Amino acid sequence: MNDVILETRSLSKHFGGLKAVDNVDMIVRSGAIHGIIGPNGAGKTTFFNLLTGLIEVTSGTVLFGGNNITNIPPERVAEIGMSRTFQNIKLFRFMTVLDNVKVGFHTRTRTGLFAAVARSATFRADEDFVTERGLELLDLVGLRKQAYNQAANPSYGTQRRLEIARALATDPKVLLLDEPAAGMNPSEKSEVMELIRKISSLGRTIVVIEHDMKLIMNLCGVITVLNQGLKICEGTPAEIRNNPDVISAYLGHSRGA
Amino acid sequence: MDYYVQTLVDGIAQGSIYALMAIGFAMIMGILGLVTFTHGEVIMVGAFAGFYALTFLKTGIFIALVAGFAAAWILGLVIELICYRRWPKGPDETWLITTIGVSTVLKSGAQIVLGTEQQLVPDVYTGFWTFGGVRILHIQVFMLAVLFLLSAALWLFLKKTKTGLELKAVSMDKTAAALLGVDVRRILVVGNAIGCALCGVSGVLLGVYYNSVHAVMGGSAGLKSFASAVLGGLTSIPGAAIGGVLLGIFENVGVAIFSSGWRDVIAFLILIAVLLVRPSGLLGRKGAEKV
Amino acid sequence: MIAIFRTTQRHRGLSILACACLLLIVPFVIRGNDYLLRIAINILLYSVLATSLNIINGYSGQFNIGQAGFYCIGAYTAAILATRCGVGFWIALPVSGLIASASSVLLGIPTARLRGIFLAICTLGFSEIVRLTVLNWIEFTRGPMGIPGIPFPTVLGYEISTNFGFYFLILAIAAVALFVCFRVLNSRIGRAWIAIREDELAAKSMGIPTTRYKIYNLAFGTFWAGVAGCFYAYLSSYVSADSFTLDEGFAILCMVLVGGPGSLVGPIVGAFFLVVLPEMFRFLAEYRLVIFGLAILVTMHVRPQGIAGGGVFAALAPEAAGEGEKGAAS
Ligand SMILES: Nc1ncnc2c1ncn2[C@@H]1O[C@H](COP(=O)(O)OP(=O)(O)OP(=O)(O)O)[C@@H](O)[C@H]1O
Ligand SMILES: [Mg+2]
Repeated sequence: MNDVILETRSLSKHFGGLKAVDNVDMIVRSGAIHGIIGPNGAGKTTFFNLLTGLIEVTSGTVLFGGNNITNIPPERVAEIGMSRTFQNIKLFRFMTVLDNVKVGFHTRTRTGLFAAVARSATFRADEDFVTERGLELLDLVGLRKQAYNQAANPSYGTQRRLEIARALATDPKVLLLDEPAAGMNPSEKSEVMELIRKISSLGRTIVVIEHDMKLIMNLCGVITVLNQGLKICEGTPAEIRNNPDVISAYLGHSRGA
Repeated sequence: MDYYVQTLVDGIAQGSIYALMAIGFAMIMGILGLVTFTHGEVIMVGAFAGFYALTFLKTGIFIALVAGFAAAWILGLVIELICYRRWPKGPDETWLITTIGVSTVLKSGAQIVLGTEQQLVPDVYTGFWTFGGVRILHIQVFMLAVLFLLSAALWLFLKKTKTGLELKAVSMDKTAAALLGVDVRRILVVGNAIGCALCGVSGVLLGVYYNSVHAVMGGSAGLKSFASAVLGGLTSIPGAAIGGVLLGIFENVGVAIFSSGWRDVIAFLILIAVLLVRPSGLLGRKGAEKV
Repeated sequence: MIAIFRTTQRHRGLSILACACLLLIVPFVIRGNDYLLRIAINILLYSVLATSLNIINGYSGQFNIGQAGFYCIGAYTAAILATRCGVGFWIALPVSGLIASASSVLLGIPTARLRGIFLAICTLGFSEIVRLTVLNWIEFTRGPMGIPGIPFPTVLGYEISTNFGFYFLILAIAAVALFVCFRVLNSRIGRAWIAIREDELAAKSMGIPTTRYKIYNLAFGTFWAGVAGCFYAYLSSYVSADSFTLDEGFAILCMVLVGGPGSLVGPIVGAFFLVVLPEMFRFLAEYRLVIFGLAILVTMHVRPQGIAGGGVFAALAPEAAGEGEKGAAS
């Protein structure tokens, strides 16, 4: 098997009395497309927030490529190679589509104040790099044509794809996708699925949260199921489909879409 | 010894004015979740209303308090109309900008209309009691009584009336309250008016206690109410009252140690200290941004 | 009005050239009229001040209302350097800016976590503390007496002593400020600031150390306020704390908000309107701040992005001209 790239050891997050994430052990192997599912409020987004340092861990550890990265600040997480999209889209709305992606290149460019004012060689190299690679990424997600539009304007699906492009700009080893297909119609969903496959084939590890079972089952090699903060099982799509715990977890809740 | 007790007494008396301002502020910012910058000017308008009632109409202090209450209430309605009505959901920055606009207009407008000179407010309750070397003015007791009465009235209003209960619902979750059939806009209007009216009353007391009103008194008064409310945690009314009294005490102790020129700086430094030491409850709204 | 901005954006080079010609010709036309020259100087001075505030409020979204404090620091630095240390104008200019920057870092380190009204009140308090310090630190600042006798600046061997000369001096300063701001904003640094304004958490997640960049932004913006302060000190040859009240800070804020925060032309348009308006209606002069307050309110109700706001995009994505038209709309 491949090396472990991301690992959590009894990771927990409590909000007061609520155990949003409770003692979760998880292993993500390099190159995998790893799914996370669970009913609403299971703690999936909170789990991502813990991985990326957006909220403080109550207990447990996060290991990235063997290094302990528990509670390091989000900007460092992005720098060492883990980047994410957000369930409730968080684009830089008043910037252009291309500029959104350019922001993602922040850690990979060096231009300082004086370089920017003098338009030095560093500045020019950085801008060329950022523009060229940014447009490439927009090509990848299919937004090249809208590069100069305002990011707040395009449709829901477009915004989600833009978030993916922006996350890719940080050159992540691990890409975390929080419900990348939420609110999309079936044809958009299958496009997103293709996109995720394509990104994976370019050699990035992907962890994806989704409510759409068909998408998850088709994409992922391994799936982790969370319920009320606990990991209730983990395995291949076939194993998950037949696991009685999973079925009862979903039936116990009102929504299982 | 007496000197320190005296400082404490004066601090509590002054703190009771701050408490009233802070309650009004907590009502608007903490309970309703509206951002306001006009607070100081509302206090100033209340103070002038009380001043005119006392000097021109020669009414008693009670009518003066009512005048301050009413003037500030009306001003509160106007502020809601101009600053909040079009942006019921914010963002905070918009409210901040519109209320800065109103505050600027009121402050400089007042200088033009009311003049830039300090106006002398006639004495009310000049008597005092002495206990050893400590002197307690009747007006100080009166101010404390006003604070208690208004707090009790507010408490009853929030607990016992339908509007009060709706106000609590709105403070917890505007969307949910709307779904339950609460007219959120009406609650915002009423709540904002109440918050302003309480400040109006505090303005009258401020004028009477210091024997003076001034068109630019709002700046320092606004800072005090903000600092008291933040000191008390911003979201709770009893907290604001305690914060106000504490600020009054700190300030008087500070003035006793340094000099009265630093009165406003002390309030400001306390504000900064609170913001830095306990910022968690103070950043934006309750709880972290949901991601 | 909007149409004018759109067209000027499309032909940027040309419109900059036209503006430059106009600004260079105007002083010759009004040379004999000291009153008009003084207004022109004020417009340019406030353009620099409003631009400096706009860098902070408009681009990184930190709500600073105490810019007068940094303006004051710049002016007093220059006054003290010039009268006590015999330092020349060209050294005093950057040093004033740097001292203002340094003090903004002192303010920014503890307050970087705050936002909205909390940050606003802290900047306001800072501005007041600066003014009170200047008033009370008598050995150093002469307190309420102010510092008189600041000599005329010397440029390339010529002593500048007329309004005509000062006009060109502030024009040069404004041009440099605008040029530097434009280049910084259109770089990785400017994008990081805007990203912070738009969504601080997302910016963090994209690898931007937001706290450091916010302080950086504050320091860069206040640098220009300090520079403007230095110019002001030399212009009036006398500084006193009265010129740097909170009202001055509100006036600068008003120019940014009315002109259009987050756009480079916005604050200049704002400065123009709000300097000229009270002059046009002399009977309004006394009501200057009432007008400013009303201007903020009218702007928020009629055109919340400001007179020239919404042009930000086109200015920040110069390549956009050919490819997408929607970019300019906002
Ligand atoms: N900042 C917070 N403070 C308090 N409770 C929180 C916070 N963030 C999340 N929670 C709670 O933690 C639990 C898990 O939430 P989370 O958003 O992680 O669920 P989720 O699995 O992503 O659900 P969904 O499928 O709806 O996105 C929920 O009960 C939520 O209310
Ligand atoms: Mg979620």
